[in-house]
Amino acid sequence: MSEYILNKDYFIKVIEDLAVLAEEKKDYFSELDSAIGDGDHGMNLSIGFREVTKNLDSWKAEDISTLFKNVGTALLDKVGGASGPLYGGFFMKFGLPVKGKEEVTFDEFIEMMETGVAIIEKRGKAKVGDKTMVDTLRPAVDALKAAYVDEKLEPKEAMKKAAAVGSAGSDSTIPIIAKKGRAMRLGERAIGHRDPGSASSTAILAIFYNNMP
Amino acid sequence: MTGVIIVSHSEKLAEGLRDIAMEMNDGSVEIIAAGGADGGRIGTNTLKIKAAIEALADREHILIFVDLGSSVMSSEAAIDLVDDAIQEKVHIVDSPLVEGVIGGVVQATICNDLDEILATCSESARMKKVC
Repeated sequence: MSEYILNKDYFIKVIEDLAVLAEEKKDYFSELDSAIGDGDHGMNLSIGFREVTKNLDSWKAEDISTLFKNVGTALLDKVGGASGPLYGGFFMKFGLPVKGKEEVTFDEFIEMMETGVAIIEKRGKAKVGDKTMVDTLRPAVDALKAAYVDEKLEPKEAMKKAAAVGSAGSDSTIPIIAKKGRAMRLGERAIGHRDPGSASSTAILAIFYNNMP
Repeated sequence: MTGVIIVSHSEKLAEGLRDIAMEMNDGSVEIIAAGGADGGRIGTNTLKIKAAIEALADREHILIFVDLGSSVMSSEAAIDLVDDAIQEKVHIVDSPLVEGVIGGVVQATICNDLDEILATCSESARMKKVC
């Protein structure tokens, strides 16, 4: 059996779909954020990914690592809210483990995900249960590793499981109070509302899954 | 000598605070306003803060004063992006923004001891305005 490979076309398609997502779900993400935050999550992602779209053609010749470094830098520059340093950091670090490469193995893909999620945890100082995007991303990456390495699932099946676990992680933010961000100040009034960051992270995981060969 | 960076969600607030602080400054402290998101929107900008840190690279200490929320995260992300040798001298100050900047700048004009300057900044949180 030949080894499962994710090539640069896959990652470019993921980035293009992320830009589409940022436009299509702009109002949804902002509505979630209006309930418990400052209401700019959708607008911020939209502004960030418009900058990505504007430059993507000129980045396509770069290796995967540089491609994502550029995506991350654009988000750091254009996104004014907390999602700037969080998702900006994620994408800047996402390509770090595969410097100079034009395609990656699934083991490398898992390492990329782990590196990206680790910087979000570090930057946000958030843990599972704090009602943040970490509630989606940490269980998803752990499930991805377990499904592929321990349960020996096929790569796409492993990612499907990770995306489902991430989605359940987002659901788990609804009945709890927040321990980070502006929602923290709302105390029990945050109960009953989905964390917007966990919602956008769930949608991002779905895009990584949907585009897998 | 000390460098000061003001990170507010508002570009105008950061610039206005810089103007006030310059009134107390004998010229020995360099103050950079790094407020607002890209295009003057409300928010913070990691790359703007990074540029400010690099502009102060020759200073002995670089103090970053922040207002709310993502200003801390953006500042931490900016510190991560500069060379290790510069990183060591950058400190995010835990103090009220206006009182901390004014207290810190005044203290930095009369001494160059980092601990003393930081102590003045954190004491500013207890400053009584109405007696």
